[in-house]
Amino acid sequence: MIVTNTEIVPGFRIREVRGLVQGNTVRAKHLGRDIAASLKNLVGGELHGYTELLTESRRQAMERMLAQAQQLGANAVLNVRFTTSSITAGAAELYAYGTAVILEVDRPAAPQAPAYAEIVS
Amino acid sequence: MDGEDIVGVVVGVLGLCSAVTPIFLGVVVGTLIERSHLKRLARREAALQGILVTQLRSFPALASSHLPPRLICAEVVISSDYLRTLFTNTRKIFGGEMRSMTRVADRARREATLRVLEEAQGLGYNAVCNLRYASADLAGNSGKRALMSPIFVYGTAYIAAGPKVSPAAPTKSPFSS
Repeated sequence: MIVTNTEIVPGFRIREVRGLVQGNTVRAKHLGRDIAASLKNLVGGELHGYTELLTESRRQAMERMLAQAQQLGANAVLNVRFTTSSITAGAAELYAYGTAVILEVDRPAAPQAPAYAEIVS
Repeated sequence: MDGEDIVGVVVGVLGLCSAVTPIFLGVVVGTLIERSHLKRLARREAALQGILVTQLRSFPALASSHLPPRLICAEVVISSDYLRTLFTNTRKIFGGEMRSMTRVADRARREATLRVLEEAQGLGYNAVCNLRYASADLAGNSGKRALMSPIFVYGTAYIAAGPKVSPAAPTKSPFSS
C-alpha cells in the first residue's frame, strides 16, 4: 500500500476514491515515566518518555487508518495529515487522516510504468 | 549561641541549599546539555549532504526508480531547565520574547527534521517533499513544571535526479547561544 502526504503519486492516476480514512489514539504514559520526566525538567533536554509516547501514538493511529483503508479495498492512502490535541496533562490524542483511493498506472503521462507499479496491482 | 540556634542555622542552610541546588543544577547541567545538543545538530546537518528537502507538494526533480514514495514521520519532545522555566513565568509579567523557549522550540524542530531526513536517507531515498510541522500539546493545564516543546514532523520521501541542493549550510541560528 502506498502511503504519502501528497495529493498525487507520480506515474499513477486515481481510478476511484474510496473516501476519508482515519485513525486516532489517546495514550498516557505510566506514572514512573511521568515522574522521570519531571526530574528531567530540572535540567532540560529531550524527554525520551514523552517522545516514545508520541511515537507509539503515531504508529497506532496510522495502523488504524491503514486498516480502515484496507477494509475499503483501497491500495493507497494520499494526503495523510496528523493533528494532535491535549486531553489532560501527560496524555495526548493523535489523529491521522487521509484519503483512501485506488490507483492505477497512468499510461499517457508515463509511457513506461514506474518501476514500483506492481505495488498497486 | 545555644543548641537550638545551631540546629536552626543548620536547618536553614540545608533548606537554602535544597532550594538552590536544583536551580543551580538545572542551569549548569542544562546549559551543558543544550550546548552539546547544538553541536550534535550542527554536525548531523553538515553530514546530511545531497538530500533535497522541500515543502512543495509537486515532487520536484523526480526520477524514476524502484522505490515508491513513502510517508516518513518523526517526533521529539524537548524541555527547558528549571531556572529558565522560572524566568519565563517572570517574563509573563512584563511581556516580550521568551528567548529561552524560542531556543528550545528551535532545537526540537531541528532535531525532528534531522530524524526524518536521516530515516529517509537510511531507507535509500535522497529527497523529501511536502515537509510539514505540527506541535502537540502534552502539557495541558499542568502549569509551571511543564515547559516542553513537542514537535512532530512528517514528509514524503522519494528519489530525485540531478545535482542536489544541500540543506542550508549550518550557519549560526539567531536562536542558538
